[in-house]
Amino acid sequence: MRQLDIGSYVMGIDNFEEIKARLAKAIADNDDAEIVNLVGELKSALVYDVRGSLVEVLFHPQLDLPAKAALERDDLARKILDHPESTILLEEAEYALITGSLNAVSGLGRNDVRFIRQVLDAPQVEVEVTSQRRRDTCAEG
Amino acid sequence: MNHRDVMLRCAQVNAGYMRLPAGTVDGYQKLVALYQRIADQSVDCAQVWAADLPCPDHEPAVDAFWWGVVSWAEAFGVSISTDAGEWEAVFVRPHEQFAGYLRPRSRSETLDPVVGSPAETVMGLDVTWMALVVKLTIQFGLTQNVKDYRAMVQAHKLGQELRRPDNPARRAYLQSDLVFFRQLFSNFSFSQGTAANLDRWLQDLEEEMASV
Repeated sequence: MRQLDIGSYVMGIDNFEEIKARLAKAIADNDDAEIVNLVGELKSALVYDVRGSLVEVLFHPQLDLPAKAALERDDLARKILDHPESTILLEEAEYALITGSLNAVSGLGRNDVRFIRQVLDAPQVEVEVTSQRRRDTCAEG
Repeated sequence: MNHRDVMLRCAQVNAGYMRLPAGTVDGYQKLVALYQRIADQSVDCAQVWAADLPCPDHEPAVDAFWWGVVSWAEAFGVSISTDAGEWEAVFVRPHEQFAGYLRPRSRSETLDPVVGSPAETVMGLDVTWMALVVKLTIQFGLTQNVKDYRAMVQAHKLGQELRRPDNPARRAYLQSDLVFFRQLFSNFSFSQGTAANLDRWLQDLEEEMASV
């Protein structure tokens, strides 16, 4: 299985993590003036919507999807959009659908580089099969 | 009405707040837009809660808003010296239950009560509540609400204006709060004594505003 990071991230400012840490301190110190100064530093920040971008890639017009393929991809799109956590485990077939689409579309820009890396470098993880699932698999076999 | 229906009515009253004079004060368009977005999402969530369904997707700022309201509600009750047990049970707890539906957690922030004239209490608590909402928004999900940085800066600026007597923004917010409180409190089944105290307090607020 692949573990994919699907949480949105901030781009456009280099020191977002540092600002976040300073904001946490200002909140703990109840320093309203510092909070407003730091919030003002976020003016060039942009949010990259990873979930939305994955779905866009899956349904990109350049893929010229037939109806049945679009329906199949919609299951994966829903799984990604409805997933409450910022990381998701995908079956290899699901992951292949995403990477295949990503590699097939053109028009990506520098803003997409982190997203592309995140998808293509998603780590492979071993998942322990539960006894219930083992039983199901045996029953199916 | 059960407490979920009451909170749905509260969310609806809240969604009308920026149609009052507060929404027309110059220089706060981003703040007004954020408030309206939060209020609209709150109504959606309250409707789903009333139907006993899982909470729909919403922005962290919505959670911050309502957890801030819980702290505001506690401090308001102390500030106007209402019956503490009744206020907690009838007014604070339904707000806390709705906030807990939006984001399960424990009540942990407190606002200092503001003892003074009704206008001083209203404005003092408005200012500290707004500051708390900004802090909670940052804590709950800065990334999702980073686009609202201008609104958060405007909230700070508005807080400074609301502290100044004779400021037009303060007047607009007081007028709006008076209408808002009348609508808001009418949704709750207070005892006759508490309802009479609240009416008297609102009357005092109206008279104080008229005398300025």
